Amino acid sequence: MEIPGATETAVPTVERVSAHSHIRGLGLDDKLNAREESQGLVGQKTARKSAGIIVKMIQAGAIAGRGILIAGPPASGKTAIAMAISRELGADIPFTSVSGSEFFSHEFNKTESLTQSMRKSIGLRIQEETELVEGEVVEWVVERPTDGTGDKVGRITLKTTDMEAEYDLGAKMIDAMEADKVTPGDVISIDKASGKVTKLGRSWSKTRDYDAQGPGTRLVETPAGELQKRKHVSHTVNLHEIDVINSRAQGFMALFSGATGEINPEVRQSVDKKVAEWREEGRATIVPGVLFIDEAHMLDIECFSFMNRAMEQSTAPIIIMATNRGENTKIRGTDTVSPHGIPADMLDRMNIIITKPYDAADIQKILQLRADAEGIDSIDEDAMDYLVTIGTETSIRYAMQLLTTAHLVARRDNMEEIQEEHFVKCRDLFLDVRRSEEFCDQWEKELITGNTVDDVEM
Amino acid sequence: MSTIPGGKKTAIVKDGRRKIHSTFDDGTELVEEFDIRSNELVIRKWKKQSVLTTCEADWEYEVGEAPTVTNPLARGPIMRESSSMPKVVRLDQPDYFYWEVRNMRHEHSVYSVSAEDNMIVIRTSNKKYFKRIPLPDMERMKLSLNGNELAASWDSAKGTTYRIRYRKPPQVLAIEAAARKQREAASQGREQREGDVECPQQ
Repeated sequence: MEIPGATETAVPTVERVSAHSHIRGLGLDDKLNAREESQGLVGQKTARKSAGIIVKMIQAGAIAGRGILIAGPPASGKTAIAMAISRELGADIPFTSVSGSEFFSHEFNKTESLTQSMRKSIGLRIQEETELVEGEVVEWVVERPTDGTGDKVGRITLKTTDMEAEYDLGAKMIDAMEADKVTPGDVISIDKASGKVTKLGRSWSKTRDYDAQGPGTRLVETPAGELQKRKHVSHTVNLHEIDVINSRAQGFMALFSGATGEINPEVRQSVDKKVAEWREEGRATIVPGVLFIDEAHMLDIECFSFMNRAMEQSTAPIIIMATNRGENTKIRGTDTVSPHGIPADMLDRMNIIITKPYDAADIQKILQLRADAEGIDSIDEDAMDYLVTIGTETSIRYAMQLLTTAHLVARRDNMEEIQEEHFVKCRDLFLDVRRSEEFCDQWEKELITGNTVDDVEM
Repeated sequence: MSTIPGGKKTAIVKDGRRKIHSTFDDGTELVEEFDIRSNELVIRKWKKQSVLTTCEADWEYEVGEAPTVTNPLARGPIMRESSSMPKVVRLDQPDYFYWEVRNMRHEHSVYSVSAEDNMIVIRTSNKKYFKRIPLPDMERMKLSLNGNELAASWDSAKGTTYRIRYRKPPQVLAIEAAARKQREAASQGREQREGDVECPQQ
């Protein structure tokens, strides 16, 4: 439909890139010394070297139930180092990343949340004969019942070079396919027992249809032979996944526990028993992984007590905590103060890594890395110096935020290179923390603050 | 009484069938059902212990058909073959291994069977259907396949059921005959009453 007077303007698409997507590892050499700038990390050499030693310890599998604390001021690379550790460990070692406040939800109680997170971080490597369905997706459809009730059903047609077949999909399968954005032409592998969908790549024959593909897309041959195969697969599942499979499979009991999402402790007990049996028989090996808890000062005293005990088990994961709180922080749930808001007995179990604020040279390198990650092609030299000054005066995060906004402003002005004026403009538009504080001070009377409620004249 | 050795066996006569249940050391279970009158194998099914799930795995039917289950996909299996797809069912005969492939939907001329790598392979020239059928009985006796003993036919001119037969070699016929004799002996030994549990074998 034509709307008179309206003209189309192309909105520049900004790809959503996460804050730490540029990190690929710790950037250490063979002697575990940190290179100045490597694998996405800059500076923080002591902390990175310590982290490197931790990684070696985890890989050796020799330690279990140890804690590591990464402490430092905001924007000093704590989460970045944790991400780097997970990349160094590789996909085979379970790495669960949560924030301290996630354990406090109305859905589960704290112990259940903690238990689930810990069990997600303990892997089990097993050799299994499973039925796999592997083929190229021809098409797939989902039918949702029109009256809104009932479950959705789906159908998928898969093919190999020798045959084609249709399959009916259950609701959980449909969710998995939608989450992975499976499209015709993808070559996928489905584990019939667990419902896991793995994208193997895109079919060669489909490359004519699509020009735009993500950089990570692999082109593969459409498989030959039968769609359904029995294969010996060695894979790592985590204990939580096994808990879920077993509680789900218990038919109508799952209806009751499924609603709350909590897992019956009996299920866990029987899983633990089975796992112990398999380990004895040599059918499976335990792979303790890492549980990373960011904002660890949000955990309360009950959480810490629970973790103290949990960490004493032989199959406990390594727990890495990060916090920017300092001395004399109240331990949540008590009136006691303790360094970092963490009780002394927990601190005792932990190896503590300190991160320090970055200097100007480091800030410049980091900003350059972020600019590359966000696809910003060029920044004028003076503009970059200006941005680095802002970074040192306020914080790296603020400077990073200016990067994206200034990029958009520059594009709007039809300029390829970001100039100083763009940063200036964005700085005026978006306040940093200190200016925001000043604003609040200045306009105290107009703003609603909790403290002055009693003083408000009625 | 069964052609498959090993394991702890118990036998019971029920519903007009002699059912022999074997339990092996690694937890695998085997159930074989023989029709009381014809004394022929009707069902052979296995249940393997799954490592991943502590709950019951499903029965796998080597011979015979599973009873049709209409379970809603949402809470049941995550994924299964569409009911309109071809299905292979093994229903042996005294002298032949015999399979029926139902729901075939293309012209008869595109289909072909051959014996390859100790399996029966069904191919289509239009690349719409492909299936490898193993012969566990032959594998258990370490016998290899001979293409000459393989034959295929259709149930009718425009039919959708493909029938495949493989003549049982003398070695297989011999052990089946021995097992059959043992079952006959058990039947004649005393009056058969439903629910009788026969002495555990081996």
